[in-house]
Amino acid sequence: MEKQKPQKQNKELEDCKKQTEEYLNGWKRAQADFINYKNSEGQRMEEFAKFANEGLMAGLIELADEADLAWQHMPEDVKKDNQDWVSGASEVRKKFYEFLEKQGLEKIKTVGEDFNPLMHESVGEVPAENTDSGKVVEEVRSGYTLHGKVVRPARVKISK
Amino acid sequence: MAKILGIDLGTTNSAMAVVEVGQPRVLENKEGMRTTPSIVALGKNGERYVGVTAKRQSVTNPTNTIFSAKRLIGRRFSDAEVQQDKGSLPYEIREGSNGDVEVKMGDKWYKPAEISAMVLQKMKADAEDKIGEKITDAIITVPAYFDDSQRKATKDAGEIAGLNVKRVVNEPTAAALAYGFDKKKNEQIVVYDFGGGTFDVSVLEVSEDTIEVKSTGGDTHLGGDDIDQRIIQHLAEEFKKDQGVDVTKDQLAIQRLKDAAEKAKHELSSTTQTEVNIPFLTADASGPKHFSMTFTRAKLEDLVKDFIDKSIELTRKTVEEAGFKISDIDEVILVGGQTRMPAISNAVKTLFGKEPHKDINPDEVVAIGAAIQGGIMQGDIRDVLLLDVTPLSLGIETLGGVMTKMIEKNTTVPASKTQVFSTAADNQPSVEIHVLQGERSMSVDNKTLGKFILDGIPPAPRGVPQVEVSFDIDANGILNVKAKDKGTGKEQSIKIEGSSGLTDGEKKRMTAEAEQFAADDAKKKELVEARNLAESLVYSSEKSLKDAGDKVSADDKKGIEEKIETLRKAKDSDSLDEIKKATEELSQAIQKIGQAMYGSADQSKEQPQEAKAEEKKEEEKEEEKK
Repeated sequence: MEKQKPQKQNKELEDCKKQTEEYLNGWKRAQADFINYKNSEGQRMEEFAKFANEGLMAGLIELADEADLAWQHMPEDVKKDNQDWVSGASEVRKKFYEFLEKQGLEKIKTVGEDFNPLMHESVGEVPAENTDSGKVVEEVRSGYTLHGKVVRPARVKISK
Repeated sequence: MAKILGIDLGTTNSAMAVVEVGQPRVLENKEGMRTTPSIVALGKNGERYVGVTAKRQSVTNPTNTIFSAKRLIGRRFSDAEVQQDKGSLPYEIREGSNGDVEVKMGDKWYKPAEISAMVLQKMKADAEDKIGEKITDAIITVPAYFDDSQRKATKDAGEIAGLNVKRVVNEPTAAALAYGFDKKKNEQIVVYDFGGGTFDVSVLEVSEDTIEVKSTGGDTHLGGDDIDQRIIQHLAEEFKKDQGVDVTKDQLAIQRLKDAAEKAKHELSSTTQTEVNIPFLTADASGPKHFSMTFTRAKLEDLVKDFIDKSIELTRKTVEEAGFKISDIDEVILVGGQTRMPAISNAVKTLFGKEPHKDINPDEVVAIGAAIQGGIMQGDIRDVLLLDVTPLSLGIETLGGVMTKMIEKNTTVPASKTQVFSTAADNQPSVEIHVLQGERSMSVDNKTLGKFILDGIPPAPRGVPQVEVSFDIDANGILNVKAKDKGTGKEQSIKIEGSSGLTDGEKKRMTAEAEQFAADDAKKKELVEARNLAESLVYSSEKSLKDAGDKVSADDKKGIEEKIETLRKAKDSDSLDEIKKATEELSQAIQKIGQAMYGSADQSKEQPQEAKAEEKKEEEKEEEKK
């Protein structure tokens, strides 16, 4: 019996040591996880801040589109008889687009560019004689990027 | 340890997630989207596109744009399903040498598994980009009805993509895992999955350590896309009725109708009606034509009622096939974006007589479950310490019987919080710390956990002594509350065990009560706060008056004293308006002292107005009156 005692104690000590190590490792891991998480969360917040307005921007773009449509459909007589008014309204329109640009929105280039589905969405083909196939020949709906990310692809027709 | 990627390889869209710090997280793809279209294309320029880029060129390149490969994967060409789909797919398919299916993209023939592999490859690369480490292992989900050959082909797809597929998991099982239902022993679970192009329903049984699929059903050609089509059709008909123009042949107009239909569908999930407004939709000889219509949720539900009814009928049938009665089902899970439609979740609720689970994003729940399966296999989740949260807020009683929260409910423990309080009366020798638990504003409405007194505070004007109160809950839920007088260093503490030892019933009752009485409590609290403010204004006014001495004219002094008296009386009444009015009047009057002091002396003392503001701040650090 006397002899077994130190053995038993040794084993207990061993177990304790093992457990200590396990706990310490768990603790270190948790700390590391937390620090890493905090760092990546920081990055995520940065991204978030940059793109937090994306929904709002998409909404504004849509409104801009429809205002553009109205603009395009302006009756000829209105245009002719109200030149001062038209030029004023044209300034308003310009200001609005400048504002969008300041927010980091950039209009996607279309006509004449190579079709690129990262930026463009094709909705139709047009037989083209003077251009190579696969070129954007018509913009159906404008597209925008926000800080380089596509908020809305441009809808285009491409040459056949 | 390298992370295992959980992938929901869907018919129309795919999603992916990993477990990070024991928690699942959905990963965005390179384009910044949480789902990736399961589409592959060979562009006319010879470039290969996967995901949204493939989708964006599909209209002008239909024969080389492969979608719905999942409908073909691991199937035999002669399968009835394949024969049925053959007619509606714009790309070419043929029978392979061993009786399987092959699809044509460009000049080459591919196995559907190769197409799926391209989708998986993109997801793998995007995931690596996102988390900044290499991914080799993955869990991929498949419909519960997939046979061995389909499962094998899916696994092959993963391997072609360079992934070591640790396991192929059933989609409904993954959804159940995402909700943690693998721990619900002996329960029957129904997973109702209304996706973009398919409707699947599964009945699961959770036993000791497995989740078994008891039956599956559904319709492989019923989904959200059908609902979209119905809406577009309806809008086009309305436009024709209204304006006499048929836009169904006008590609561009249809495109705009489609956008509007999708938007309206989403909006009607949270509102009961929406305006569909498409100015300048088209034009004819008479000029531009606009589309404008009020679209109600009721109309939408009416339009797609047959789809919903069908899905419910299929669900009922599937439950029966599993050998269960509807009443045997313990949990119902909603999967698929279309289940956000209130009519669908209501129909499911009515069928089962219980609220279905829909807290986890229905587009992501399967990917999340796959990631969790990966986490479990890695030991990442099982070994994670299960940390408790405080079920109810903890705090102490402060001036006027208000409960001041120290630790908010649902705080993950271990946690601690320290705040400095002060005395409410001049020369107050002791403070009582009354530890409370609950969500109500007034301390009497909450549960007392314990009380103790910190005494021996040296005589000082009210608001001067600094008593630091700290709350500390350890991982076992044992709460330690300590109060320390920063002046003397004297401290007292109390240890409260089982501070979260409430039964579920108690928790529910207390939380419900807090909601029920919220308005009432807020009123009471406002009254107490106004009273506290009044009291401290009376106190500071008296003090200022004393300090000012004869610098204030007798008339002014008398006027202020009267106002002090009015406020002193008002503050004991229950009329909030009266207290506020008297406070306002006194605070106006007291400013005269400041003017008088500045007017008479260069070495001006504290301006009363400022003193008042300071006292107000003091309200935050308050204490009790005993």
